[in-house]
Amino acid sequence: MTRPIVREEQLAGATWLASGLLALVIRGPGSESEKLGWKLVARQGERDRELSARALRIDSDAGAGWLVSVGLPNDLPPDSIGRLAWEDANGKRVLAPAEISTVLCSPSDFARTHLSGVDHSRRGHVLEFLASACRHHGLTPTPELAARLVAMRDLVRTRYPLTEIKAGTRHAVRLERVVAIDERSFWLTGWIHDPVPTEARIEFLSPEGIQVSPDSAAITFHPRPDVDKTFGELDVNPNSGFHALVELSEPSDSQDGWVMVVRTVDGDEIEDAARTPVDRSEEARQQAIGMLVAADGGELTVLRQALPALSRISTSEKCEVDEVVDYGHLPADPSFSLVIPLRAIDRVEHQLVEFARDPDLARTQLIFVLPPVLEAAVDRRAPDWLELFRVPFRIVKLTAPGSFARSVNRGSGAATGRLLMIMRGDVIPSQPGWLTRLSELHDATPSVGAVGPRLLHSDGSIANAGIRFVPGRESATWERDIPLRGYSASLPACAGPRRVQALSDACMMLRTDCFREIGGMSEDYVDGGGHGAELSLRLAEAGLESWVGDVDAWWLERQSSWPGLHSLATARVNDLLLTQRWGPAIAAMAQRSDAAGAPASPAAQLNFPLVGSDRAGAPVEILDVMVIEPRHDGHLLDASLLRPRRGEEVDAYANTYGFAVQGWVIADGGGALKVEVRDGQRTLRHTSAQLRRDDVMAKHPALPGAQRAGFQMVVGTLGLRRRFELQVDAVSDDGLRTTIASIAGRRRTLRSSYAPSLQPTLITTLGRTGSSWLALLLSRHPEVVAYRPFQNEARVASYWMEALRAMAEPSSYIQAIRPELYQGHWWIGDERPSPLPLQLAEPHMPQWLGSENVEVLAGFCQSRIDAFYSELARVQEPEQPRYFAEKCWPDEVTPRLMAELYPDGRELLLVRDFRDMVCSIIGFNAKRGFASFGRELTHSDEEFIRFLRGSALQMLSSWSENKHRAHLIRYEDLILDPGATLETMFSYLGIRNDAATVDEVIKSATALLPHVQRAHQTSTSVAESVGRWKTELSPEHKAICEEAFGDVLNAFGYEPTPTEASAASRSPESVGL
Amino acid sequence: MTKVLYVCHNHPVNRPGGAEAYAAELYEAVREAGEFETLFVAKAGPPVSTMDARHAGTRFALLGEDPQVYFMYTDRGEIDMILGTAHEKRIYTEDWRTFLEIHQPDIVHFQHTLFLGYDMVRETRNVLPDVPIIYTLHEFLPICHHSGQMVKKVSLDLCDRASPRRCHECFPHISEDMFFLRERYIKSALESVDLFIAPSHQLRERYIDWGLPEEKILFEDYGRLAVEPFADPPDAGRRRRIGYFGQITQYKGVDVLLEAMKILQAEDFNVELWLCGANLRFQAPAFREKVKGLLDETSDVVRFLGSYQYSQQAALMAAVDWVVVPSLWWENSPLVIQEALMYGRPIITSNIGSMAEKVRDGVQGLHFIVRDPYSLADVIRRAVSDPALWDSLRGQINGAHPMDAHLRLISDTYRQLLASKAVGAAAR
Repeated sequence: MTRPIVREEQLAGATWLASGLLALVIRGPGSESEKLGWKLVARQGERDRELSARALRIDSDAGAGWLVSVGLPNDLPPDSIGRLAWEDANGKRVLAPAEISTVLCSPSDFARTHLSGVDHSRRGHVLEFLASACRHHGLTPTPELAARLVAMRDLVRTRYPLTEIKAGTRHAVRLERVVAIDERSFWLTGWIHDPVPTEARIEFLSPEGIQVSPDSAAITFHPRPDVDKTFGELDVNPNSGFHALVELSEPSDSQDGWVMVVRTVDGDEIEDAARTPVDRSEEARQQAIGMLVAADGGELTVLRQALPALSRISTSEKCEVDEVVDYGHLPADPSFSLVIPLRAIDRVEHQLVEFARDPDLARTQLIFVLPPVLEAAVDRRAPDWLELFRVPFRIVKLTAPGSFARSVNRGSGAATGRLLMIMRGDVIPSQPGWLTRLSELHDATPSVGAVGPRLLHSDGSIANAGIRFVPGRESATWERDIPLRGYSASLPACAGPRRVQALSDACMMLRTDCFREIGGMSEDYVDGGGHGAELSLRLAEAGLESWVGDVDAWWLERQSSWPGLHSLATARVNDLLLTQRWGPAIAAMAQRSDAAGAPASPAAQLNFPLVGSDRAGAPVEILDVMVIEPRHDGHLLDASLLRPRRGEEVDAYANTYGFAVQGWVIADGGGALKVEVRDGQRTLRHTSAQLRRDDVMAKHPALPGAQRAGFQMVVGTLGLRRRFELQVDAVSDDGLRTTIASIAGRRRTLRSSYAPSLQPTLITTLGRTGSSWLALLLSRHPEVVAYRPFQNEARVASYWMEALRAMAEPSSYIQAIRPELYQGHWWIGDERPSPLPLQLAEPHMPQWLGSENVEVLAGFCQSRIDAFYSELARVQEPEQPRYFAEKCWPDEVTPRLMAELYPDGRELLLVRDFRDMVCSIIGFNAKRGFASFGRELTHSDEEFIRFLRGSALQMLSSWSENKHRAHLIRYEDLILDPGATLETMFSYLGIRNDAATVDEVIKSATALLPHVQRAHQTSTSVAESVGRWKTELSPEHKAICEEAFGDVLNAFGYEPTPTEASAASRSPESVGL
Repeated sequence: MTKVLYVCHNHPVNRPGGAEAYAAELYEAVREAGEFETLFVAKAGPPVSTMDARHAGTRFALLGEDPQVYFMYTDRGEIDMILGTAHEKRIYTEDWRTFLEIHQPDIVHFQHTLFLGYDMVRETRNVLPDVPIIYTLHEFLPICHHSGQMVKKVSLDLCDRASPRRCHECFPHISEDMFFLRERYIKSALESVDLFIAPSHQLRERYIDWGLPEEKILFEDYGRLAVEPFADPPDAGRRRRIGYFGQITQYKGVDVLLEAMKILQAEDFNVELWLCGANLRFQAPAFREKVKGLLDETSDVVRFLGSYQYSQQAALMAAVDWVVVPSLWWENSPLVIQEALMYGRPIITSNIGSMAEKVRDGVQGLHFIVRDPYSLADVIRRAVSDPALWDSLRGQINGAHPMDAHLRLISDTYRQLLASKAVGAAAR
């Protein structure tokens, strides 16, 4: 039902606050609650259209009424205004067109006529109502609206006496400065001249009319002796100055018009208007936050209040990708995307200089992210950078200045590299190949999330080698601590690679898809830190670790191109945010940290790589221990494994390349037992169960054997796979074996600081495979040295690797400090009469012997290998020696250790048809007149063939383990197509492989061959050595060969043996391919 | 014919100086020998000359007398003097590149890159990947921002090693990090050089310590053109006349020399110093006043002759018995020592650096303790008082390193580098 307007409710005034935003005053009786039922409707033709409207009850000198704001859609014809209606519980009322047009006036007149008489207590509400109208109706604020609101505010608001500044004045106030932290948060400073400023009631009025009273938590006081002096005070009032943080309910964009009103305890009310425009500069904002933090004391109450505003700073940025420009041809399929947000360009050339000499950049998508302010400078310089430094790069231009995190997120949007490297503009790589080295750490580390380099100051000291969390000293927050910052990077404690609690965002690498999966970089932190810690914590939440590698980069942080807050302020703001978000997770992480002393103690700093009781970062980490209950029907009566335990290690062997094994076993019947720790078929350590254990005697007081059931030993892990699984077996006198436990663990790659001048090319192979010929060929290449391949078969590398492994065993190095002397090689300790002690009074030295000492020893062994081949190179004078070539067996030690110590080394796996190998061995033994190559260990050729299966499997296992980095060569290819085989092989080695070089190598080796091969050759010609088994082996031997090698031959691509007895059931899967 | 391009930070016609004088002489000698075609590019414009670029739209102009000698105009303001590179790299990627592409030199021999920038070398390698690049080291400028003197800025103490911290102490307004970056930037550009030539052993050692590859630095002293010999000055019973030739700067030790003369004057010692030096007016006021004061105080024993033309030098040197080189810095291979050796004048010199290297104590001259006027006074007293000493030293002077021998070595070096570069290019 539509009713006409009743006289008591009439439209008294109307004004346009902004385009599409109308304010009305309707006079008439009514209650506050009536507005809840109101709707405003515009009539368009015959159709009513509901409008966005709201009302505020106002009572003024002119009588009671409503202040109504109405949002008008753009498509509403202007004449619709004339047919506005509103509706309440009593029905719909229509405003006649004439009534609106007759009351329409300017905003100032509207305010003066209808609002200035509003009751004093309601004026604040009126102003806030108007200021919030725009947002309420979903309209975008405009400068026009802001100006009108300011004008209206000054007409509506209550005015108070202005401050008089002269001696003797009892009360005065001055609003000195207003700084915008963001669009709603403002930092105001000034002073109050009053005996007790802290008791005064303080209000601030924004230019748009929003009134706000900071509560006590957001205002801090400090002395202003200059003010006191001005007013002739003799004493300094400790609270004359103030800083206040205010948060408005509506954004404020106006530059002028802030007012401060103070009501003193005496009841006087005075005001002051800000005399300078609102400072919206970045510098002022940073300064304000710094002051805010500094003024906050230890409780962080103000800061906590400010946190939402601080977090809003970056998220409110309207910063998107504006344009992407490529300079030069970026790699089409990059391995890395290197994203560098810039806030200045003074370091770009220095970064380009380093990139220019780094071969990794050929497979790196280099992306600089620019704020608009740098565009012109970069546009002018970028073509010359490309021309001069010859490094292609991409420029991602942003639409607005973005925070570091926002810039990273925008810049990484187009990243196509598998790995994303985030880097600040003030980080300078220290050496070529650093991206590759970090990626190797990334790829080789299980559960890795992110890796980063050690960041160094220009004086070589640590700038950041990982972050740990420590309890705040002044407040209940977690703080990020950078252990050993400023200390020498040569300290072993900060050597990499190490797992750390968090990485610096200055330089960190992670998988691009992983970065996207976890939502990119959080944009909530204040620039200058915190992003990296957040990223690491998010990765940790996903079960992924952060690691610092053994790669360095320079972080010229003091002249950071990224303007951050005062470092203290930045740290506290971001630590507070981190604590709020991640407190429990950080606490759990910190709780797991090794108890190496108080968190801030030097000892704790030295132990900072140890982030948890799972000993991550230590050379060996025990991941799982499974104890197997003895079967009741077996030869064991009872057994238990006490050590190792997951994540724990006894003191003497903590943080070493070894771990302790301890337990007890009792044989059924009380017989003697031996305990072995085995890696597959290989026994690593063994001991007799012979130690007295009171706990076992208490458990089994009457059992024979319980008095001597205990065992303990220490197992070295060098030579094991990096992830290993070992068995602990109890073995009776008559050879019965029972596994009592399995131990799963992982070990750190063995590294040394030695920088070899020559890299190894290992030829992993068995006997009679043509390896001497291959070594001879290699030795004729101008970039390779090898020591008399046919005459001597040097094993210099194997020699030193075995020596290293022997001396790195705990049984050996403990002999140096706790010796038990006996005849023979007592220093190896293999025959030590008593078990190794598990506890030593002083744990540091055995720990050092088992860790750093091992790494130094590794470097020494490398140095001897290097010296040998360097001397050989000096004598042989190859043109440009880069590699030494040497054969080695496919055992567990040499290839693994060499691969770890020589990341740039190469490995060739040389295989030959095992059937031809059998023929060759048998022929060679016959030629020499005695048995060798294992034949001497067997009683017949048949048994020998079966015996060789173990070697064949070892080759296959070696290939399976190393095929990602090694190169497979078949003897047959080498013999029948040497040119192509060598060309491919030289290419793998990264040495000259042009046709001329290959020809010269073959020619030169062939020239030497007659002299050296005579004693080796067992077939009539080299070519006839291929497939000789077809004619030389008897049908029976062929059948045994098929049985012994069929699956391995298949795996290496050899033809099957055509016999009826072929074991068709074997398949590649059966040997674990 | 193989074309050799010389690049220098100045040409002697604009402003005299040791390095540029040598560079011009070498250019002339190589040109006259006829084996190589030669080309010379000298930086011009402030501060080595007052003129801006002579022709609109190009940085290049000809010397005029020789069509193979160019000026390349740069303004001091264009160069970042800390890093030694132009602020705007277009000077390299367009101007210098175009010059190289037009002239296509077979060898580029940098004599100096001051006011041009080390990126001249980088861009040369970019444009001419197989051309040998040679760089003659004239002082320590790549190492030391203090005008390459390796002398501390305030105290003028000798400095034996640069590091970001030490350099920052000399220049507190330049951060340690900037010095760190400076070293890496300059070294990265110099990586393109195939061979450095160091005219003194001490200079060579200093650059090796700094990190340049030892095998890439050849010691070879400056070669000097032969001069007409003149007779020894008359022996009036004692060899009492001492000559100083060179600039009067705070590094040259003229104040130490005058202090020594003041000591001798106070003793009424019969000695006379001819001070032939220029550029005092360009020095810092305090130093200027100090020297003027000392000149006033030593007027009985010092004749201040001021600046002189190079053509006058022989006559001046003929008139003195001794040449004194009292530099406070290490020096490289001071031309004044070479000239004294050419003219057969025993030398009294500081006992450091290449001065001590080029003048062996008691052989071609006498050493005194650097910066010590009493030591210098002692040595002068001894030198003047013992006529037989002069004869002995004079008899052991065999002249300077002759240009013809120098030319042979330089030419051999060019040929070897060309050969090895050709092999490298073929291998690619």
